[in-house]
Amino acid sequence: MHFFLPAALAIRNVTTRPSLRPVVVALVTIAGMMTLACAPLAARAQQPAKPGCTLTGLPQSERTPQMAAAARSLGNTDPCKIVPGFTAKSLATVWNSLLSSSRTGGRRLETPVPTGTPQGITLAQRQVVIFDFSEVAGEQLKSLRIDVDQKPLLNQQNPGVKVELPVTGFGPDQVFSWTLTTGRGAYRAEFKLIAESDRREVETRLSRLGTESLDPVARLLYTAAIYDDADLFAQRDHVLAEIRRATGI
Amino acid sequence: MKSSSGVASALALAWFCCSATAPALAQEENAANPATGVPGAGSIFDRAKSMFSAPKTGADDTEGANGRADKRGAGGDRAERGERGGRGERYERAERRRDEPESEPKEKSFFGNVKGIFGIGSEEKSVTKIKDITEVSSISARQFDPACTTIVEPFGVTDNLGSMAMLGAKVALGNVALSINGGGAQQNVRSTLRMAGKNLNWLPMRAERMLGEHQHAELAGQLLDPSRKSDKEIIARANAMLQKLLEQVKEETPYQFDLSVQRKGGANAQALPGGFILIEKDLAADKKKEGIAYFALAHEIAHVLQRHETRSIQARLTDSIDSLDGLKKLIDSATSNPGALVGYSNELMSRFVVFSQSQELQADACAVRLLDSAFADRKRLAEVIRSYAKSLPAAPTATAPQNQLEMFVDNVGKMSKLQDQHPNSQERSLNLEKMLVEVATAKTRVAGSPVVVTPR
Repeated sequence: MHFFLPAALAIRNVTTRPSLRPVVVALVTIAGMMTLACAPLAARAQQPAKPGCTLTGLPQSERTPQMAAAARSLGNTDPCKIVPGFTAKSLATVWNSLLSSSRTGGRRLETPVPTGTPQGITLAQRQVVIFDFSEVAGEQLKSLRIDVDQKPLLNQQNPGVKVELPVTGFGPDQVFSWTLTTGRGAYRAEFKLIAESDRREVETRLSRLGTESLDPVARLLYTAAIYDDADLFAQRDHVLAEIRRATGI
Repeated sequence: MKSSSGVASALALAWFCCSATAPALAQEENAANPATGVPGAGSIFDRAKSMFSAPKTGADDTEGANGRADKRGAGGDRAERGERGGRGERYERAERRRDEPESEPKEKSFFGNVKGIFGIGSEEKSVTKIKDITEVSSISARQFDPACTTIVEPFGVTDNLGSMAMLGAKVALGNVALSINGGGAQQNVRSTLRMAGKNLNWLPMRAERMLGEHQHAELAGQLLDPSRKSDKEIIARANAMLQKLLEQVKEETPYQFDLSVQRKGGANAQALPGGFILIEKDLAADKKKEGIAYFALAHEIAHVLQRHETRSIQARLTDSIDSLDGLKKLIDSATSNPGALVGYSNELMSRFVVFSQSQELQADACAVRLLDSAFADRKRLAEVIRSYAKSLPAAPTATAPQNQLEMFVDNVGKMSKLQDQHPNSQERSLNLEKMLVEVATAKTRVAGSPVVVTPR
C-alpha cells in the first residue's frame, strides 16, 4: 500500500497535466500495439510443438544407460528449432542407423569399404579429406592409390591408419577413386567433393548447433543427422562410430 | 540284398514324393497340355516320368517370358508406387507391410497350414523343381555347379524330396547294374541320401522371406524415397534394368523381387534372402555405369535364386553340429596334441570362407548366363561383363601366413566378416572370361552323369 500511493499520485499528476497528455497517449498506443503483436507469439509458446517436431517414443533397445539417457535427452529437444529445416524424422533416421547393426546380412557384389572412408559425396573440412582405415588396420595396410579423373594423384606404400588428402584446387565435378590394398584383399570406392553451396549450408547448421546447450551424445546425434541430411555418409558413419564407442553399444 | 533294400527304399521315397507332389504335378501337366483339359490326367507312371526327367534350365525351357514378367512386375510396381523406400520410415513401413493383404492364399485347415509351412503343394509353387544331383558331400558348406548350369535352386520341401528320390533311384539302379555286370564297389543308398540331404536347401521359403524382410527393415532409412521426383526417376531406371533381367528367368520361382536404391553413392549391390535387392545410388543414377549396374543386378538375382544366404545359414547350423562333435573329441585329446586342435579349427573356419567365395563365383557365372539371355548382341554382352571385370581392384599379392598361429588369426579375422568373403579380383576375372567363352560356344554340361561322393 505504501508503494502504490506515491505512484498513483504521480500518474494522476501526469495525466492531469495538459502538456504531457500527447506523450501519454503515444506511450499507451505503442504499448497496446506491442501487446497485440506479441499475443500470437505468447499463444504459440503455450501450444504444443508442431507435429513433425516432437521426438516421441524413440524406438526400442536403448541398450545401455548412456543410450537411454541420450534418448531421454533427445526427446526433450525440438529438432525444428535446433537445426533449421529439420524435423523429428531427420533425427529418427539417424537414431535407427545407430541402433541397427552396422552391417546387415545378405550377399554383396563386393566387400564393402571400411566405415569412415570417403565414398559418394564427401566433405573436405579445412580443404582436407580424411581416410580412416582403423576398421581394417589389422589386415596389414599395404598400399593406397588415389586417382582424380583417372589420373594418378597419390600412390602410397604402407599407408597409416589415417591419411589426410589435401584437396585445394579440386572441384565438385571431379571424380576421386581410391584403392586400398591390404594383406587380405582390396577395397575401392569413388567420391566427389560436396558442392560449395551445400558445404556452406552444412557448416552453417553445424555452427548453429554449436550454440545450443545439449547433452554430448545428443549433440553428436544432431551432428550425424546434419551429415545424413546432406548425404555425407562417410562423415555420418564416423560420428555414429564415435557415439557407439561413447555409449558402449 | 543290400541293393534290393536300396531299390525298395528309393521306390518308397519316390512313391511318397509322387503322392505329395500329385496336385502340383497335375497342375503342371494340365498347363503343359491345355488341349486335354482333363483334370488329373496321366497315370502315376507319367507323373514319375515327369519327376525323373532332366531338370529344366533357362535355355531348355520353352515357356514364354511374358507371363513371368507380368507376375513379377508386382514387386517393381509396388516400389514405384512408393510403398517401399523413403527416409526414417522404418516403423511406418513395417506397420504398412503388416496391414498389406498377403499375396499368398490363406489355407484354413490345420493340414493346409502344415503343408503351407513346409511348402508342400503350396499354390505359389505350381511347378515342381527336381534337381539332378550328380555329386554329394558330407558337409553342407560345399558348392557344386560352379558354372551355374541350373539358374534356380529347388525351393520347396516337395522339390527337395523329389530330387532325393531321383538320386536314390539313380544310385539303386546303378548298384543293380553293377551286380548284374558282376562287380564294382556299390554305393550305400542311405548314407548317400543322408549326405545329399545336407547339400540341398531345406529352410522353408517363408522363413527365408521373413529373414529378408527383417534385414530390409534395418536399412529402411538408407533408401531413396520414391515420393521425391528426383529419386523416383532413379528408382524407375533401376527397376527397368531389373525387369529386363528377370524376364530372362524362364523357370517358375516363388520370389517377389523387391528392388531398393540406397542413398549411399557407391557402386555396390546387395541381395537379402527372399528376393530383396539393393543397389547403391551411383549404379542406378550414373549412365556411364550402366554395364556394371546390369552385372550387379544379375549377380544379386543369382544369389537369390541360388538361395546362397539361406544355404550358408543352413551350412553353419548343420556343419557346426558335426564339427562340435569332432571338436569335443579334439578337446579331449588337446593336452596330448594341442597342434591338432589349432589345425582342426583352422580347417573348420577356412571351409566356410572357401564356401562363401565359391558362392560368389557361382553368382558371377549365373550373372553371365542371365546377361547372355538379356543381350542378344555378343559385343554388348562382352562389354557389360568386361566393364565389371575391369572395375575390379587389382588383386593383392598373396602372402602365405608365416606360421600356424598367424593362419589361425587370419581365419578368425575372415570369419568375423564371413558374408563379405569374395574371391580375389584375378580369380573373378578369369571365371568371368571362362563363362563368356562358355556361353559363346553354348557349352552345356551333360545331364545324368554318375554321382560322385565326396566324403569329408
